[in-house]
Amino acid sequence: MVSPARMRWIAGAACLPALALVTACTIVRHGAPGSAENASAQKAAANEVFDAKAFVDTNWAGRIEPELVRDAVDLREVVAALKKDPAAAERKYGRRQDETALFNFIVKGREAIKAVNTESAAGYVELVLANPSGEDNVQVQIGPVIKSSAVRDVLSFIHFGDFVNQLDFANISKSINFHVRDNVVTGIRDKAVAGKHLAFVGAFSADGSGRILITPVKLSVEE
Amino acid sequence: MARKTRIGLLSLALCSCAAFASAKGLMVIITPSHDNPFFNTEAVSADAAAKKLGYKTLVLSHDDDANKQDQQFDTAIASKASAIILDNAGADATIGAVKKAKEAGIPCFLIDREINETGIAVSQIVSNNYQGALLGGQRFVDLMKEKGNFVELVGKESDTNAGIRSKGYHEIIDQFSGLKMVERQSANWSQTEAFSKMETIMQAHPDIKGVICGNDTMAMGAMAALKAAGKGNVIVVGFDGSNDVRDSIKDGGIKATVLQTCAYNSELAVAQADKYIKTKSTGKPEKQLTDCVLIDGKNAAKLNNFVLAKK
Repeated sequence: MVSPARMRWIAGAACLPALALVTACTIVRHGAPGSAENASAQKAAANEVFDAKAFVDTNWAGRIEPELVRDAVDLREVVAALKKDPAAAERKYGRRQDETALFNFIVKGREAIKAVNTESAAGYVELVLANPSGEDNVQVQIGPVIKSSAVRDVLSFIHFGDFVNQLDFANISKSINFHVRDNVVTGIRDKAVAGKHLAFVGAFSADGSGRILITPVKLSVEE
Repeated sequence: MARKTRIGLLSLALCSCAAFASAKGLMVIITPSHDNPFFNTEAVSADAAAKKLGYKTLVLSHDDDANKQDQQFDTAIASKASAIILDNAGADATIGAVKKAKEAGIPCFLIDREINETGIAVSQIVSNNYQGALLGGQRFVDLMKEKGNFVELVGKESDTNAGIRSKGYHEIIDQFSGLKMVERQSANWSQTEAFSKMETIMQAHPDIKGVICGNDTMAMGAMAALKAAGKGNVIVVGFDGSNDVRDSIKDGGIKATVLQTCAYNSELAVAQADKYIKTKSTGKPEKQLTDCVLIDGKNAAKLNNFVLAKK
């Protein structure tokens, strides 16, 4: 499955250093030492491919998880606000990378489990939200396939303009999702059953579908 | 129609360059072939936005030929253009042309495709192809119900976006062990090439359940070949959000596509060019992303000329 195109990625990566030198100059004004932007540009300058996985693994415990834990709002508060006035809710709670992007929200909660879907490889736990309307469709991803770029897109220290290209930026999200798969949702499939409770901190994108799909950064099953 | 206008403008440019030194100056708008509705929309939108701001325009197509693009840059330089709005003819091959314009004092504003160098163009406004490909890939997986044989048709290799879209698709699809790619071929963004390649592929693989395509014109070609073979129920997903695919979705043919907001990107590039001409700054970083939107049966009716109506 190593296609000619994939080979081109490898070849292309070798061409990055020249542009990285230029990028590095513009980057300093945003970048604190050890930030993603510096990592991306410096690696490229050193003729190496930016290692998004290493970046995520290094920053998970110190920056990524803490930022979500610090800024999480109760899920019910956000859901209620989105129902009442989506635009106002987006202004108050939403974060996004650019003006055309969907808004993303950081949420936390402890809710009863309605159902567990493990049929799909992109498995999820559906929550009971004690909401009068009863129509909430709130799900928390339990993998093994983790979708969405919501976690990357809520982080205040990640900006597309600071990366060498779309791929380095995309690889941050991919690595975050793999980290969630390997470290956050492990074992949840076996423990989660209807009636128990799920405690979580995570992020979701408001895509207008009515479905809220949370990518967790902290997750546990409780009685 | 578009072609006629183009020839008209070209001859105008050749015979009256001096006239362009007027009031607000000239914006030269260069894109790939207008035969592809995506690029046509880019050109038409940029042209309209520039004229609205009081600029004269010269609209050209490089037809993905870097030499032709280079000559068109010479024309822009000779015409003392105020700015160049460019959807380029190759991420590496374009670097020299943009440098040449910069040295001649003409700022370049890139749309759609990135170049492999920063610091020479003023803006690079790029659709978030990777984010879009993730959307398309996810929908494809859902439509396939996570299993079955599929084919991938890839775009032109010299275009960064061909690889980025493919990589985005695979980031999602490859995580599902039930999905098996039986063929992966480039059809160079072309409808006719996609048609003939699909015909051949079907002979070797009569049991194809889905085809994921790097753009809409290839999706149209693949769908036509599938229909001609009585396999109109095969799941086809495209990328761009063209009116052709919109209509196919409405008719139950192609299942989904990913909209790039190319009209918006063109207008944004022109607005930034105008601001830069006036103030020597756009106030924005060079590299800017605009997000893509998934189009399917639910919202296809709201799509027209690469613009999705809000309501």
